[in-house]
Amino acid sequence: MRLPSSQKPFRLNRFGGVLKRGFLLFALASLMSIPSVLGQRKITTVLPAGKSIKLQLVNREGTVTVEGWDRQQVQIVAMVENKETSIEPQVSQYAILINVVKDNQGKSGVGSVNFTVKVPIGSSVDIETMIGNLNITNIRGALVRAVISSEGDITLTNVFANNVTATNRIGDIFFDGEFKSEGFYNFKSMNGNINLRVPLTSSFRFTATAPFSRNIFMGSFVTAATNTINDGQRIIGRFKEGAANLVVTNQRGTISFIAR
Amino acid sequence: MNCDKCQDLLSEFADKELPSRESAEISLHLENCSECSEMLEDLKLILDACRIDIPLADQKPDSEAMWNGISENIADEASKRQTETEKRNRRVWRLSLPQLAASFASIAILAVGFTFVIVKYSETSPSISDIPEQQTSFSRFLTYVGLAESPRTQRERRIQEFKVAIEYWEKRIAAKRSQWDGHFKDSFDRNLKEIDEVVSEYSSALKTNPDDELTHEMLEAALYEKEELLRAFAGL
Repeated sequence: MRLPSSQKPFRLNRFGGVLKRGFLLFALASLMSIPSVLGQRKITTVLPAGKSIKLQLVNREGTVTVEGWDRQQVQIVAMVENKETSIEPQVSQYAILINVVKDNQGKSGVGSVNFTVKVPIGSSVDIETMIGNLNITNIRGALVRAVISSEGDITLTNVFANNVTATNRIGDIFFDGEFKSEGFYNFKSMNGNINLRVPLTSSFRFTATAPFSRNIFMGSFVTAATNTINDGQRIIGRFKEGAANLVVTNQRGTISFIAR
Repeated sequence: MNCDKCQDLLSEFADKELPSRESAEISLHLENCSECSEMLEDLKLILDACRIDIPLADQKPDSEAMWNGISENIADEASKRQTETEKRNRRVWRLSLPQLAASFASIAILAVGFTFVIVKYSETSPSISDIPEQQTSFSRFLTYVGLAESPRTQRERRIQEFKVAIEYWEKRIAAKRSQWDGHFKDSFDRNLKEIDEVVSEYSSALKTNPDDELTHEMLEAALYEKEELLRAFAGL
């Protein structure tokens, strides 16, 4: 693993002028490297933050877990498989950007990086990975976006955001949260099961499409205001007033609504 | 003196411009010639009438009447100009039936063109959330007059666009694939196989039911997924 050098462990982006250099020194001081078995290394970073921040993380391979907490701090723990893997976060007062794909472009043998990130509960979270699972918990910010380019499960629990996107190709998607009025929620998979657990008090209009399985289980959310298309391949409808917008597409898997 | 000579000098005689000897001869002739006397009488009447006109011509102009006349002329001229302007203004909006028809046709063409542009650009990205396309009477009309693509043409164009993009990213992947780790290659191949199967199944379904809008939409969604997969792995 190549740890960030003292010259460029954190590159300030153009908003970085706002962040005092002391923050960087504090972050560097809190950066620890702990050798572990099988050549893995653990990197821990703690950064001061406001009540909310935008976390944007692009990973190549590995599990990413993001958890909201009540502190005005961001804690990043990275378990890095290969010592050659480079991680160069960019930090500002408003955002933390980590792009493992870009930082290691053209390299082979990069290996997996497992991230556990804790952010203020009001933060926005935008996570992408090529391969691996994404877990996001206790987030009440404006945006939650979880995208897996190929394989992996997405688990979103206690998520109360206005805009939620979860996309994978092969793998399950589980959402446990609330649909906010005027919010937009998009869940998409090629092959896996999509399970949405929301309160019965929710109000949303939806388009659910499962062309191959034709398995769309509305559960307790069955309503008269639905329209079934193409012999059950798609259901369009409205639950209660239809305040939120929901689009769920699962090419080969199932879609289930579960009362919270 | 005979009559001819007397009549020749009669005008000058009346004006008393003749020498006294000739004037005495004419006077003597006039006493004996009634014809010449009558001519003299006629000539005097004419001259009297002329004398009456001279004072009229010499009269000073009536300035008040003159200014009244000028004012009237100016007023008349202004009135004429105002009438002409009104006529001209009225002429701007006064269109003949062909002109009106041409104007309405131009407005209709502009509106149709504007709508076409909006429709065209709003349909460039694939949407999986929309209700299956249903052509309205207006869009059917646009298609009929050649101002808009039919849904079938639109679908074919979009599929072609996807194919071009996919071809591009496949070339990029082919150039980089050798640098990937083994499990990245495996994962990529599994996902690509999954998507290709879906694409193949939708294509087969469309052969049986070519007008199935939902299958068309899902086929485009699957092609979009393929493009995204290729793009993501090309960035490794």
